[in-house]
Amino acid sequence: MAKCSLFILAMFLAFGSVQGQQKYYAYLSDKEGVEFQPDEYFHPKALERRERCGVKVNKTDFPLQQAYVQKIAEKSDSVGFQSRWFNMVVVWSSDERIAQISELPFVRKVEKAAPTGVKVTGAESEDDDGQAYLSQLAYVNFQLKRMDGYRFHKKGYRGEGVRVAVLDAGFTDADVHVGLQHVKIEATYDFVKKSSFVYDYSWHGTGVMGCIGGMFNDTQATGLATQATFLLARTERGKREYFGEEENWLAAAEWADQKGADLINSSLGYTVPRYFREQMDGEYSLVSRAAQMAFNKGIVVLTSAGNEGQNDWKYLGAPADADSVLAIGGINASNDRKIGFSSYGPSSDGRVKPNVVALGQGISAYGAKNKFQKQSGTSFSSPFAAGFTACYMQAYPDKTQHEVFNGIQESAHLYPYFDYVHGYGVPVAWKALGEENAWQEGDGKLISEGGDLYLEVEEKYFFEHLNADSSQLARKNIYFHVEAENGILMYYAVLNSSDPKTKILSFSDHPEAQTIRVHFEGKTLSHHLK
Amino acid sequence: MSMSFKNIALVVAFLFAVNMGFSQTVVFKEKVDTTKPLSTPKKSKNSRFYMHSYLAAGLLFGENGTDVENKFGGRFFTYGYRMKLKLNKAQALVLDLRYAFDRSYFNVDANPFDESMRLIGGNATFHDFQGAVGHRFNFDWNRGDALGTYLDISAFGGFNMGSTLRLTASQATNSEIRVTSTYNRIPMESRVYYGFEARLGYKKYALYARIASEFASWASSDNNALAWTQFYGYHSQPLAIGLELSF
Repeated sequence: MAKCSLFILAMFLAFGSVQGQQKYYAYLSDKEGVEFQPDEYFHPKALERRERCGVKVNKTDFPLQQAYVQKIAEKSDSVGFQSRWFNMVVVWSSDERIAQISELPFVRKVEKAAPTGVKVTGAESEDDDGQAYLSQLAYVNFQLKRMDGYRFHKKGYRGEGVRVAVLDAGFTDADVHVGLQHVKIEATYDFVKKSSFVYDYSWHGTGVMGCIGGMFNDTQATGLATQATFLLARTERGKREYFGEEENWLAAAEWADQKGADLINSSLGYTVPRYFREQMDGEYSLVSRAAQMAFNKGIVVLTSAGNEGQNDWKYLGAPADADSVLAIGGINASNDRKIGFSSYGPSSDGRVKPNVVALGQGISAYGAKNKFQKQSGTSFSSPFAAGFTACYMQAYPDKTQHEVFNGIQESAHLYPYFDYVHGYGVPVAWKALGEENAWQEGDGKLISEGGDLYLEVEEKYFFEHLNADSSQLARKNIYFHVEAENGILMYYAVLNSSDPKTKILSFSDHPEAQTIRVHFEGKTLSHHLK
Repeated sequence: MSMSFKNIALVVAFLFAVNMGFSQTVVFKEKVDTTKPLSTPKKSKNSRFYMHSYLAAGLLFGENGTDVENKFGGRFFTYGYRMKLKLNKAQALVLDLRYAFDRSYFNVDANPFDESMRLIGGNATFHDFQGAVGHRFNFDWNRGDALGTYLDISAFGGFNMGSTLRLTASQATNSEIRVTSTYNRIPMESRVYYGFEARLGYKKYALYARIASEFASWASSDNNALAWTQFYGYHSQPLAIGLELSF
């Protein structure tokens, strides 16, 4: 027994040494006496964006009261990043000292910053020396064609004048990659190493940049926004780390705001083990609150939904759960449907997520050392949509961030239909520009017969639907969802049919159903039950 | 003729039915719990109930209840199932059920055979079923959906299901010739034992230690072979230290 007691005591002592210094977020109560010159701090493009979006400079833009920070520094081991938006300072301290800090009259609250699990949302990749890439040009074309992206280019919309901030794990060789030589990079910052050099550490950001606005051989665009201006921020250490720092994301978003970003693309997601699914409500995690604040400052934020669709977590992560963030899911090029790994929605409070989708499997994108890679992941769906959004913003330069957010959703091919894996569908340029589509909307009707609901399509459209070519894959899919009384979908599905009359469902299988919506060939039909 | 026509009609009807069946395909479907769209599943690590299997292995130390001297290198292996019942952010009850395998190696002075043989080694193996109930202290309260860093203090009990003594000797004049004697179904003084254990865990990894305070030990029997007598009262080494991996 004595040996046992000694062993337990030793373990307690060992554990005690592991505990000790912890990271906290200390939120301050005010910014009394702080002076701020917006013209000196903000890039003119930032002030321009704020004016366009009706966002006034307010206390959340002011720096922190340094007298407060100094007092906290005196009582703690060290202080780190200071967030203007949240009037918050990162504090390293022991439990004992943080208790004293929380008693200070100007400290509103203290939160413990626990280890996080960040996942860069890219998956498998295969290296390629460029030859195979060229042979895949048809596919590269399809990446943009699926969004009807060349329509933007024909109109001269390539994201010119739009500032895109990319928050990622690194941008290895992005400065020398042949597919990114045309890109305008306005500013770079590594929030992990606190330096301006970002062209190392991970190929992931390089791949993402290529999907936003890459161009191969000066002719073949691999992303739609080839004339956008880039701001590159490294916010994470690696492909996957358990001690990622969400405050780096927040710091980068504030930096992007200062530098005049119109759009942020972040192909990163925070899920397990840091969070529970219930916490994916857009308000719990620091990174989601940061993304929401970026939107409030006029920046359109796009983020990948995540690659958890086949894992225990299954659902989207943060910041994809934030209310005004465009969460982008991934679809397969071969059937226009959700890729297995693409994360499911909705948010934990029942909001539609993902918002829209883009291709995300077998993507031809860029890698380190001038390589080209076949990559998969919603990491690449998000930048495709970001490139689209940049072109949209060039086409509609006066739109506010809210209008852009709604505009992208309304440009999606399924809109107003939605579900929790395809969102509102793939944004398409003809819809975004209010132009006519190459193919007409189908005509059909819903028929209730003998306790079942049927979709009956006119034969003319039905045969077009069956013979749809690869650029019209969406026509092959019949989508339907069943909505409950509280507005949340209780069931959704996709059908393929070879019969002009397709049975959608039996009412007896869905006794709680309030509304059933069916989407096919660009047309959404509704059937109300109560 | 009429039979064959009937058969054809059946085949046509079947094909028609099959064709009807395949005229539409559900290529994707998903059901949602509308009352709680995103809820953490029960198998989630920081949920109220969490069950998982685990594997532990390590070394055995300590006296064996006889004059037989154990060599360094006694080892244990356990595979079991654990249920964690979360009480609050910082505490939980843990219940374990597991199979345990203990094997100790030793030197013995006595010759188990006759003057022509020389003993060169031996080992004792215990196959046990163990259960434990304990208290978990979690140190990272804000850990999210993770096991986090924890200390388990438990009381455990065991039941011996069987044991084996194996002795190996070589011929005194020719060491190439060896004889191994295996004693199975060894009579037990007691099959039940108990003790305490502790586990310092970080995520799925843990440092594990247990110490037995009562033992399942071998009894005397009618078998009074020279080698056997010195193992009366033998039990597995009481202290086990090792690593554990949770699944």
